[in-house]
Amino acid sequence: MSIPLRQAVTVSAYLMRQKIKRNKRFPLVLMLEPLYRCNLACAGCGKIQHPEEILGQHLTPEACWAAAEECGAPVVSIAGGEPLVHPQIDRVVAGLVERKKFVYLCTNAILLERWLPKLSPSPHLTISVHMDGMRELHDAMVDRAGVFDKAVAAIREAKRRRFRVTTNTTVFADSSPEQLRELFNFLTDDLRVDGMMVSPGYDYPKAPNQSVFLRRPQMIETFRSVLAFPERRRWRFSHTPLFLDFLQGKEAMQCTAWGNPTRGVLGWQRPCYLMSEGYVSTFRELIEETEWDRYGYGRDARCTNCMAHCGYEATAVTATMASPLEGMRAGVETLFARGTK
Amino acid sequence: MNALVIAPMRREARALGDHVLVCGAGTAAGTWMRERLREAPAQLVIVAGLSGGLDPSLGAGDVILGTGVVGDGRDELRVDQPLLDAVRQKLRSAGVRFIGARLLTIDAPAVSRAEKRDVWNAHGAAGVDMETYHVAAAAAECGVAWLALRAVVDPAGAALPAPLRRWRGETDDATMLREILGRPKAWPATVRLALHTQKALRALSAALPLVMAAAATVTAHEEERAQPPAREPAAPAATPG
Repeated sequence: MSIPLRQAVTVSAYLMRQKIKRNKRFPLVLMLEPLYRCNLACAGCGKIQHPEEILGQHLTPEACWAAAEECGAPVVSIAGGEPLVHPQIDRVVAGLVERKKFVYLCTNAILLERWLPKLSPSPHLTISVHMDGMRELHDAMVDRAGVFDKAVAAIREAKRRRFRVTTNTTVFADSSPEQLRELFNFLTDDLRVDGMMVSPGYDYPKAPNQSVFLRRPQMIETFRSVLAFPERRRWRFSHTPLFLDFLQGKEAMQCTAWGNPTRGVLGWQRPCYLMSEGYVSTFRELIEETEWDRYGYGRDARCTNCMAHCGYEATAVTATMASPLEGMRAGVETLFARGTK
Repeated sequence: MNALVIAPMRREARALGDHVLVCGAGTAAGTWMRERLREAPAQLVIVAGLSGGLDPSLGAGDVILGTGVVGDGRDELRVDQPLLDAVRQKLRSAGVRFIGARLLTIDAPAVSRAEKRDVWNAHGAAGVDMETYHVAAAAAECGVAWLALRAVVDPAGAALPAPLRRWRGETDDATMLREILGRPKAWPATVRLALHTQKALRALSAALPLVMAAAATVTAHEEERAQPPAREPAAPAATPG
């Protein structure tokens, strides 16, 4: 299954509760950035350009748990920076699992094998490994040789230790449909990962290499090609079918950035995971005082080429819940990894 | 402030007040605008009317304050930023449900959901109409500031009755009605459109006075700045003591 049944049921129940309470804006996934420091400098990353004094800071485990409780989202994605550089990441994860959050520990996997003995497999924990392509492309995107092999070895070891492992692939201008096909086949057939996430790269103005980003029409074209391959039926994506339709230009959607609020070392980041217009000290301030309607496709020039899952997957999940047909389609996808149009 | 408020259709103008002039639909709106500004110059043009919804988060009656407008294959024309900021602030403080976003002007109504989705993906415009670009281009040519206020009549998820694909202006209304009467399948969409039209016109009438008030403040401020400073009384000549 691309998403564990337990998680699908919990998230569905959470969404129903929001609907009953008539909450207009609610968090679905907390994007937790316990530090900005990373052990890589990827071509398309806009997260690591902070000054040294900020790169040196990290959230304590207690601050991470407090953020998760304050926010209330059923899913927590631990990103960064590289979370495994955090000296107490095992405690952070254990505390979140204890609080029954579904935790996605995002990592480039360079340090994963070292941390695995300190982490416990759980239906609430997914290790999400960054994989942008096969060896040549991936190592070029992360700007370091050998990272692909290290990640593959770490995934095998994590699977051997019975962890749930998924991958996260960012699609850039250099990723051809054929290369993505080869990667998804490898991840599905060889590594047998439990699910794959895929998202177009966001054109961070601060990213070291601006030529790697796709424009929206190119993204749609690339995803149409990739998802038209016959093997698509075997690939297990950890996305709603609606989100995959959106990536192919088959569904119109607007961003719901409030679905994925971001808490980092500087506070709650406004307005979203990808853009920073300052920080507030509480989640309530973020939700209630941000002018959400100012952001989104057609509303803010910085959103023009954004089709990232942190902005649109929450939209897709909400739309799925609102439509019985889409709900059934997502259910089939969850149980049998099917549901393509 | 010398502001000209225009609407493409008579029914829009009627709902918005006696001061609203009808500019016509489609490219005719641009021609009308040029002639009008030549005859009677204005400081500001506000085009108000109904629009198709492209942004899927918008419902019928949601108001779009245009931040700019694109025409198919034409560069975006942007609204003056201080003017936009003042109007945005006024609408927000009055609690009006609106968004500030780009508009798209095309030659014929976008009727089906698929058409709307494709133009949304291509242009990222929240609403689609047949006049704003032509009016804005004419105003810009004459050096006149412009604003666009539109209310969604057919949301992105709702298709228009198919015969409306050939609608080009109010003179086509009777023909359209006859065609729709002969196609029972188009009746539910027509009823929905009629209901949404009332809702959208109500929203537009509530927002327009606020937009005009905010625009008047900005224009008055600009006029003040443009005035030559009052001359200081001459200092008495120093007399040697």
